[in-house]
Amino acid sequence: MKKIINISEQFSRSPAGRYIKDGPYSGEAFRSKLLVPALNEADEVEVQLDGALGFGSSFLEEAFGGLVRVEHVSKHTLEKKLKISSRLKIYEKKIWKYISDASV
Amino acid sequence: MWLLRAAAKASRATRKLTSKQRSERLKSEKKLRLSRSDTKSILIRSPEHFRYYGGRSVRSDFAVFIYDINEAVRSGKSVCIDLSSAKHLYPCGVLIFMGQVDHWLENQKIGKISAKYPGSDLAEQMLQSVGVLEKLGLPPRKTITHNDVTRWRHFTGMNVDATSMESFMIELRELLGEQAQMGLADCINEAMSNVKHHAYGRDLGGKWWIFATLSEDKVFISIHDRGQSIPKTLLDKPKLMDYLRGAVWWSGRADGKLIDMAVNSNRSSTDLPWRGKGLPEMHELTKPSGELAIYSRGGFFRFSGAESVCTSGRLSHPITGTLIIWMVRIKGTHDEEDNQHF
Repeated sequence: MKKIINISEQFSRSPAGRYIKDGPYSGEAFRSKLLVPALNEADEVEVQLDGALGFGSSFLEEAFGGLVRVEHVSKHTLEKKLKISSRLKIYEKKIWKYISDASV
Repeated sequence: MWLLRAAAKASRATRKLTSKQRSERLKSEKKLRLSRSDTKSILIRSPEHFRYYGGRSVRSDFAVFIYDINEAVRSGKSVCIDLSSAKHLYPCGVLIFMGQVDHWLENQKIGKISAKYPGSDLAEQMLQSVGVLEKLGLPPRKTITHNDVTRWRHFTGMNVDATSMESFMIELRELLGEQAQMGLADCINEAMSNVKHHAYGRDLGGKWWIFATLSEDKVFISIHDRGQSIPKTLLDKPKLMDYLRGAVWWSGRADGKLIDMAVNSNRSSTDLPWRGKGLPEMHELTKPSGELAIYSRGGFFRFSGAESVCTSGRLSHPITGTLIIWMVRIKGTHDEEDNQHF
């Protein structure tokens, strides 16, 4: 089963910040409320970044690096299940770098 | 106004005097700047320029103005701020003034803060539009029409929340294209994160202020907080080199180097490898033709992309918190495939 998450439509057009206490649309909130449940339910999860007006490294690192660092999902599992979709490929590269760095 | 300039010039001359002579000279200079109606109230005249980034003399006049009000508020006097001379308002000066007004209103003990309207129509429109005049007890009386006011957007908050900037970001995207707009938004989000996590200590959070505008070929963004400063937060976890450099004991020159370090490395107060990316990303986005200036506590860092020159050093007038002034030049085409400025 495949699940698609469009950040701007299902979470916020202006995600920002790292922790839930930082603000209303943080990386931690996105990870815990949308990303982790989707990864638990589906065989494949596609996260669509287009439409959002910005992220920030704190948001992306906590949302995706946090999968490894906090949720203890292995990089191997994410490589099999997680797909990042974005017109701007730099975001895809950044997210996988955060996942790799968190795995070290 | 000439009294303020004279006071600033005289202050520089006092460095050549003995300490007793210097103290007496500064007291008499202060009497010239301030008018006293009685011992419990004071009238303080603003300088013509509200500017922090720029020439040393205008920064000195503005810093002295802020200092005088701080001293009066601290001593419990009723303060009337005479804005009639305010004429040339720059984003950096207005941001600092906005932060200071909030601080004074929160901290006034005895008496109160009041003000007189600016004499300049432009200055009154600007200070009215950012809400400062109303906070100082001056009801709005202008229709905001001046282009130098309407083209500036201002945002403020205490959380990492970019939702209030959405319309500005959409406008930026139409002008710059998606890639450049996203890069700018990422950096602004990181600046808010930095304030939330580091500026006010132990994740307590505190207020930030942002000014932003677009012109045909540039984007200007100024960000201010009244937190502990970048040097102070870095020195919460000092490294060996900080001791060897003497940076752990307050030093303006060391502050400049610490800001430089925060910009050119991932060093942050958390000492965690996945943190500390905000300032380096802002610096990266400024290349090759933008400009970045960071003022924090007693130091500054400046980068000119066009000249590929970084400078850092000591401020003649230390600043409370941090002020970032950022100019990014708009490229000719939209959505370029070259991602190197990320």
